[in-house]
Amino acid sequence: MPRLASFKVILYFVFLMMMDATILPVFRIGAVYPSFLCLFVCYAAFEWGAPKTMYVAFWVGLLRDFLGGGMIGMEASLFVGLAFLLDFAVQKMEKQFPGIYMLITFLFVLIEGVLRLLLGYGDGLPSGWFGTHLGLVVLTALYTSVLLPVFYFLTDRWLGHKTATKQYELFR
Amino acid sequence: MRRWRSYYFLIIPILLLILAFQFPQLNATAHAVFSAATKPAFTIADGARRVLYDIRYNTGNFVDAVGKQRQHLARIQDLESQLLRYREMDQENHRLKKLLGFSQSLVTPSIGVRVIGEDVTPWKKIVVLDKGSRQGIKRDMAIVAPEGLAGRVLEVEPFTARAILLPDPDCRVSALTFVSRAQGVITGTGTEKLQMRYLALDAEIAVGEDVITSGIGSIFPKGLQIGKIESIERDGDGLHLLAVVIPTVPFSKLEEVLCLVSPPSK
Repeated sequence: MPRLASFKVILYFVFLMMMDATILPVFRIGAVYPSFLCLFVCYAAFEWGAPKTMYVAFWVGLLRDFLGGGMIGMEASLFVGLAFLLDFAVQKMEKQFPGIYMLITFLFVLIEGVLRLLLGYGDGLPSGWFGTHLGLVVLTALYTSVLLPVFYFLTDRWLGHKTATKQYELFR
Repeated sequence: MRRWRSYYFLIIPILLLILAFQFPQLNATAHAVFSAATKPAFTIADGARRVLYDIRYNTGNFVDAVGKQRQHLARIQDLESQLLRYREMDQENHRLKKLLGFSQSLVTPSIGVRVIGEDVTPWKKIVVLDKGSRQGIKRDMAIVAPEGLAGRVLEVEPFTARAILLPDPDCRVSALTFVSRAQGVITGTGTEKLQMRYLALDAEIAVGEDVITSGIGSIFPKGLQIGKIESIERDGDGLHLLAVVIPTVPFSKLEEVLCLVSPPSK
């Protein structure tokens, strides 16, 4: 588990922001493309626990606020609020169940998208397209969650994943 | 204690949100500082993005190259990298020539800009442009592509600008059907299609008819192509017709555009 204020982690945040804003739109299917910043919050919840998840969620939300050009704090509040739910779900989940990580990631991105969509409707999105927009949110959640193994590989390589088994090796 | 520390992370963004609502200027300044600070990173990432775009939209050519590679492996490995680079340059050249030709045909002077980033929300169509107020970009300048109108400049920072494209639900353009001259307002839907609203019930519009800018509102010049009518139905209020319009500009492949400098004649 790296120190979150380290240069390596800050650089990784910048890298993920660039991926979300410039590279990942190239891999769009229709109008749908994934978000690595969302995956980073899920990764933090799965691997690092609650306090660091809040920290990651806050910075991810803030970066998305800056990328979106809207009110600063909107997405950050949304992400931190959802990080509480995510942390609760991670504590309760049955970790042996295959695909549980992807399922939780899917639900996290889906709920985040739906909340943003509802906020968007409150802000004047045209009515009559809710179904289409909801479809976009579902597909975005699906596309993002499918990329979770790729993201795990990328993040483990970047930040260096230390497994708990190494602790036992000391006592052999 | 640790649990309480987690709650601080919820309080901080809410405070930021209240500050941003209370002091919009502070919000704008924070965005400007962020844009200026991240522009170099965006410019670097844009290089990778262009190469990836090229690979994605030339997959057919890439498969051909792989077939030849089997026959002339050693030679082609060397040539392929050159070919990819030349092809990218050629396409860029082609696009820029097309843009230049279009620019010369425009009555109003224009500034060529590149799209270097996109909003992460799927239904929002806001893009980051590589030029800002230092290069002469101003708020509400019309953004055009060779195929027609693309959008307008929403916010300007010293080195970058943010533009809203036609498919964005917050984008409104006063428009006119080309043959029947029926007036309406083009609005984005957050999808690949646009809506033309507030058409008179007796407007004699037809499916397939071109839609152009009307020039009303002093932002967009008159006569810029917007799209073609795909279908017509009665609006929900029953007082107007509503047409679904397919835009002529390929918004998912937008790389270079022009900002029209001077406002159109009123």
